[in-house]
Amino acid sequence: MALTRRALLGGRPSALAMMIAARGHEEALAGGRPPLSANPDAVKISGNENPLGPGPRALEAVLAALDQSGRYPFNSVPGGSELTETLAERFDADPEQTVVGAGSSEILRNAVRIFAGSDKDKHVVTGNPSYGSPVTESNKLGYKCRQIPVGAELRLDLDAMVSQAHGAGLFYLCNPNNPTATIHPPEVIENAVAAIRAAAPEALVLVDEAYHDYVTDPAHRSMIPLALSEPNVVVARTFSKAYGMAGLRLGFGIGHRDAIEKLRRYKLSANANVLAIAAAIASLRDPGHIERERERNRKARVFTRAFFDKAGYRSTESQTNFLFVELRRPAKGFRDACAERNVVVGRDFPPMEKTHCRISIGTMEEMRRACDVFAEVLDVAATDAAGGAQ
Amino acid sequence: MTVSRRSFVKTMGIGAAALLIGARGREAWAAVQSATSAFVPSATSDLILSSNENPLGPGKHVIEAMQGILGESGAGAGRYFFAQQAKMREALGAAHGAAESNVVVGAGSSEILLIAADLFTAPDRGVVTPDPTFGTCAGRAALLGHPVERVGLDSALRVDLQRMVSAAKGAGLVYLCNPNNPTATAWSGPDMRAAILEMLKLSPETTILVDEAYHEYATDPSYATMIPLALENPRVIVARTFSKAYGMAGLRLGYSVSHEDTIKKMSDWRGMDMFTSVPGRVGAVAALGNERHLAKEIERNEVVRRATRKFFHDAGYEDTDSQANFVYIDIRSSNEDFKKACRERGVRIGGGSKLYPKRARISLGTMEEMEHAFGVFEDALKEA
Repeated sequence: MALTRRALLGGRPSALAMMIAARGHEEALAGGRPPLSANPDAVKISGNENPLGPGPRALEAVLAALDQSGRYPFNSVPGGSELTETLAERFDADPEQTVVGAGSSEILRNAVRIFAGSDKDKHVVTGNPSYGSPVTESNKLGYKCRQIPVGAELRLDLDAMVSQAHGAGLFYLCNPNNPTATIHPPEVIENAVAAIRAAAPEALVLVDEAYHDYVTDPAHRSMIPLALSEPNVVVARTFSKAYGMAGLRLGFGIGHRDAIEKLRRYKLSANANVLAIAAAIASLRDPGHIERERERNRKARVFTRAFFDKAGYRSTESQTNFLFVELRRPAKGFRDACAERNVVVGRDFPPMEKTHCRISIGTMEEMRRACDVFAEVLDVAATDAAGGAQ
Repeated sequence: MTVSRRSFVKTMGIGAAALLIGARGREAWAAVQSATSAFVPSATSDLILSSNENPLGPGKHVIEAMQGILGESGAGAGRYFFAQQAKMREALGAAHGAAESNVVVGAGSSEILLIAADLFTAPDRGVVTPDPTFGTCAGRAALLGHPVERVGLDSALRVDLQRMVSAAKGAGLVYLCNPNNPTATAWSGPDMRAAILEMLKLSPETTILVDEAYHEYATDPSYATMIPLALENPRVIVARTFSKAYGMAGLRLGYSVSHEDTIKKMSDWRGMDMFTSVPGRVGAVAALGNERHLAKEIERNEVVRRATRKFFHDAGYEDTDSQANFVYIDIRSSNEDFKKACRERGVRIGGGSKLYPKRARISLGTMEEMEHAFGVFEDALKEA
């Protein structure tokens, strides 16, 4: 009876489906086809998106899942419970230690609401600049939020953040940090978490690892094992970055079951759509693709960073798919000038918008075009600047 | 395709179908896709008649729009495409003779219900809800520790509007589901309007949320949407969904068309839309642009509904006057047992309510599916 398109594909995807799914992507990987963007002529390097979208297997899964559009995620094949089980298996956790979100934003918003909201005197602690969602959510709910300026090398100032532990409801640690692109070594994060746990055992430590899959520093480790063993630590992850699924809206939280249970109670009903579920499961079963995507991004990142180095503009040591460049001028003027030349770079990131600009990493081809434009706008000789950086 | 959907795959077999697709490319692939989804929509070995889904899913125009935004390479899935949020609101506004500022979108209409419970209930101002009805509003209010008052139905298993009016006084939020899930009954437009106006007169600080998830499937000529009232009165909210007649339950999209001030409140509370997907938004716009497809779906459902009601009437079982894509049957014995007997035979049906343990809620599949299900129901009823 189960004669669906999925059944047609069965356990081994047909050559046809693979062809349909993979062709475009592989061509894009090879640089033969310009990736889709809102304005087809523009190089869009403003949203920290993966310019190639999901991998071939994930795309194949999305196409196959289109015929599940009419089914709720608890009836679809694959369904929400299969995603939860796949996540649990992948991260060596129990399904009860995972919560799925419509993007990791849902996890972040609910974490603020639940953990900072149980007592009006509690506050949220976050970096500045850091990903803005916890601040926005705190403001909306009327909660106090302490934004602690980033420290040396534009890394989160963990000592200063930990000193705010008394009375805290939620600690938001974005590692790597957006928009500064920096990371802390795992031991440093672990020590900070231990200090927070000692000073504020009721507070939730939310470690946002949205850019984890782009980190190339060999010393880097995820905090997921810590979150699974330590109460009140949750790691948030997203499929919007390296997994190339920003438009499909899927993220997840993983950690101690008590904290996860609270997050589950507040989540939207059937929050993950069937296309995202299918793509995520296929992606998790294809780790090789993420390794290739990390390497593709690294090369384009090295190229772009070298351009700015040679042009005399410092950037932080990026472990992500974006650079935070000290342009020594307001981001707005630079951004507008680039936009006129069809290159769209990042918005303002206060309090550093007068000196720094965030530039996402596109494909190598896009970054070559972008660097030509940057050279023009910054009035440097492009060939001199980029020469030898490849 | 001139061959019937069923015969196409059946006679050719899977391998042959794949070969044909290989030879003819994407278009043929899309044809097989829609053929197979029409033939076995449940996609599992069970026939799912438990979730009030549209068994056919969205139309081809919606699937194609989604394929289009994903792009040949799939790169479209990697973009946030925030600009399309406004496009979807504009399309929804236009479809209801309103403006973009009258629309808020949710990841399913359940998000609209959650927002309403968040905003309009408080520790001293609870929600008043029929019983039984769709539980999301009451569930969120309870989670927040806000009072929930449940009002039983009338003898025809309709929302008891008179008692709801009395209970509304001092409430933060009144939830009305019309047509009501799980009982499938609906009130006429004039009855709804009069009751809501009465509530607002007696309790001007109360917000009335009308959940019209099954709106499109209501065919009684006296039925009417409350959107016109919601557009003129900031205390009235209407919630709608793409999960039912539009066949997009898996894409998680709902919305509210209401007064600008109320929409602003809900939008501010919701914040930036980070929860709806790009293919979903694009699919929704395509769905709104094809009224003919929707009309055909409503007609298809009505035909199946009539046949299903007749099956039960002929077998001697009473039901309610369904205005939805499900029926609510008095099986005169334990629905839990009936449900189990159906499940053992590969058909999943819904529960009704603890208040009505002898009522079965059965979602309507395709006619083919229902013909299969009737046989199962006969056997299961003998056993129950």
